[in-house]
Amino acid sequence: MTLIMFLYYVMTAYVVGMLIWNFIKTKDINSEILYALALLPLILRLLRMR
Amino acid sequence: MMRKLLILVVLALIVLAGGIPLYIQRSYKEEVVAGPSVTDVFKLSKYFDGIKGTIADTDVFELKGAEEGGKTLIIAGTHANEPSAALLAYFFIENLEVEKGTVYIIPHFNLSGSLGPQPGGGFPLYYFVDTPWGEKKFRMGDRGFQALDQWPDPDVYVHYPDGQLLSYIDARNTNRSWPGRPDGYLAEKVSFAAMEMIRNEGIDVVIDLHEAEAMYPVTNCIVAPEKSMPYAIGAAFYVKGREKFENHVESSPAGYRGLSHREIGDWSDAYPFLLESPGVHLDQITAAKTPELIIDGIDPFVLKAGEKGLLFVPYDENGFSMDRRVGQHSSVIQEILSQWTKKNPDRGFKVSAPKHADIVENGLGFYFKDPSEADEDKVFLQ
Repeated sequence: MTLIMFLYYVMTAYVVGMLIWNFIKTKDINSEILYALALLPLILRLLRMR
Repeated sequence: MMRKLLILVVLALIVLAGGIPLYIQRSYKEEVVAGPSVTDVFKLSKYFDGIKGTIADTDVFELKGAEEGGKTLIIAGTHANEPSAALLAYFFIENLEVEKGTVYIIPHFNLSGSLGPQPGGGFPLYYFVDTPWGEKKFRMGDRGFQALDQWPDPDVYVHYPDGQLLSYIDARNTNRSWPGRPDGYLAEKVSFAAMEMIRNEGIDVVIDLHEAEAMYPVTNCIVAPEKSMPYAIGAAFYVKGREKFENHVESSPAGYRGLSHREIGDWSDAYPFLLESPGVHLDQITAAKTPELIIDGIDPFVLKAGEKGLLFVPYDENGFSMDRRVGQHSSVIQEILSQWTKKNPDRGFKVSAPKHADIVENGLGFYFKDPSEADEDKVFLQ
């Protein structure tokens, strides 16, 4: 894994963390679903599934 | 709180339902039984250790004849969503008889690409070939390296060494990465390793196998640069005369960089050829991209396009089957080597394998050996 690729994984993990934080904080169901959808591809990448 | 939990459970289920099959496919191994002519199997990193231990490293099968002659390299799986290439490679590894010269075969040049289908392409994860001993299963791959293995993409891919600006996606395309470089993207490194092999082994003929859409003009053809042209024309002429199928010749454009049929000839003494067979599963207009479509090549929308004169290949309700596509590759390769041998007898070849008519009559699966019946040391996992 190259350094730049590693840094992209770090950035992805950071964004996943922020999305989860916002998901927990929000009280709006539309935002909750939106955060969950946005998490989907990022989790797949972090788990190295896609 | 209960609502959030429910949404997270649904998210987890979607991740697992979508991700686990992809994860399993990535670790699925295809089996090939080494035929009587296989004399060695080694890694491409033998020629450039910069890819050793990476996903860019891949197996090379050597088929060496008893008599000295020329050397040819057959590259399959450059674009892993063009499966007749890898199937031809397996078919040759199991069935090609080499009496004179040496044939090197790489079944998965873009190994990373073979480990997952095109995102958003709607392709199945696997396709299947019927054999007398059961169904043989193969991975459906993608055109380029998986983003999992080469990430991120650049905004623009700058070809090395020409500096031509290409689409960002072509940074992962092993047919835009030639002649490669030792310190570039993985796709460039694997091309560089192959160039080192071509130069160090003194390869005479390089054949890169592909498939293309029926609606794309560069299909059902041999693409050749200036120096390879006489052999390509001879091969096209002879397969049409003797074997009654069309396979025209396309000229390799000198101004379009990174392609095997251009760069290999420019950066080594080898004579490159790129073969395209018509894989209608690649056409955008098809119905569902099923395993059957990949194998049978039968699609009602492509047929309709044909009726409207929009195709560049003859196409009817019988489709363009895998048997025909692999059969064409087999015949054209053998004819190119025959043409080469006529003009270069000292660096010639004497090889034989079933050709187009045999494969269409018997079916490709007829020629695949049962790995469970073979000696363990003859079975290789790809």
